[in-house]
Amino acid sequence: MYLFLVTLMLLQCLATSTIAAEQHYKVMVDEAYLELHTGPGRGYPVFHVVDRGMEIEVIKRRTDWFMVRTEKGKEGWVKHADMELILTPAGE
Amino acid sequence: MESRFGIFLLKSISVLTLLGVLSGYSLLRADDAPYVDEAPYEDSEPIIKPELQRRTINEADIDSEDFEAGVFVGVMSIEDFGSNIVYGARLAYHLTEDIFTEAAIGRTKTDKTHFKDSSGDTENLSDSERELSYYNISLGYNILPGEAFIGKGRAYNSALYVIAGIGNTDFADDNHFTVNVGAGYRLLLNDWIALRVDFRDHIFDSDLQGNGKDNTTHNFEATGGISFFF
Repeated sequence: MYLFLVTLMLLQCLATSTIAAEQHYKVMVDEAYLELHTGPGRGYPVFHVVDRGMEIEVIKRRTDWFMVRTEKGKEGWVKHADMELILTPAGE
Repeated sequence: MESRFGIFLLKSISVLTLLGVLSGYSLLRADDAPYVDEAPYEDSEPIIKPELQRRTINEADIDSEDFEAGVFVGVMSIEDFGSNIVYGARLAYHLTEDIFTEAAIGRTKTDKTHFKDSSGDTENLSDSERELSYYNISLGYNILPGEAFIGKGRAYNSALYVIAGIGNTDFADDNHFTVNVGAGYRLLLNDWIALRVDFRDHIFDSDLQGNGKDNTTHNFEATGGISFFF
């Protein structure tokens, strides 16, 4: 029973992350630049910078950090406060 | 000779007069210029009318992964009852990038007490009484977040954490209020799978030593496990 519950819990976690990975926001960077960290925390280093006008895809969120994907396929984490100046591709 | 000088003088005067008239006219135009040039801009519409609008994103629509669930297995040393395999599960919620709360359950089966060997006493606990299970809720703090490098081309996010909490330990048909303190290491294989190593001291009072009074026992646990963010 104990093992069954644990297995069930894990399967549910896996299912949730698979289903939720489908819908992503596409936004445009309106800051001078956007720094991408390797992980969701200030201690993780910046490894890539996205310039103004580039399009990014918001994949998911963990605490105050968003995981984004650039047009070139780079994936990194951006702090919530840095994501406030973003636009849709149509400028809306 | 005189007539040539007179003609030169007359020409000079006429040129200077002409220059004076021209400069005066240009000054007049300069004074009038603002009124002439600015008038169209005041009344006309801007050529480019910006229609940009900041986007309001519903953050609830973005998949959030603040929960972390996992299983672990390891060794737990129960004071006076030996070291044995422990296994369990944990569920954490990450409040911020630094702080997380965690609920955990674990189970192990202890050895027979060593008192019977030293004192010649008979076995105190039955098989079912030797089963120990615990649950607790703890608060953790991530310290030293960074990257762990394996080889030249691989880097994994990792973090050390310290953790402490309270809970209950069910052992020898008795419930014991338990405080746990410890530390651990989390290595993320990708953005949602993590390997964890955890060291914990479960501290509770027990009267199982047979001297009729409660003694504080320290029960160390070392586990390794895997967890998933969702």
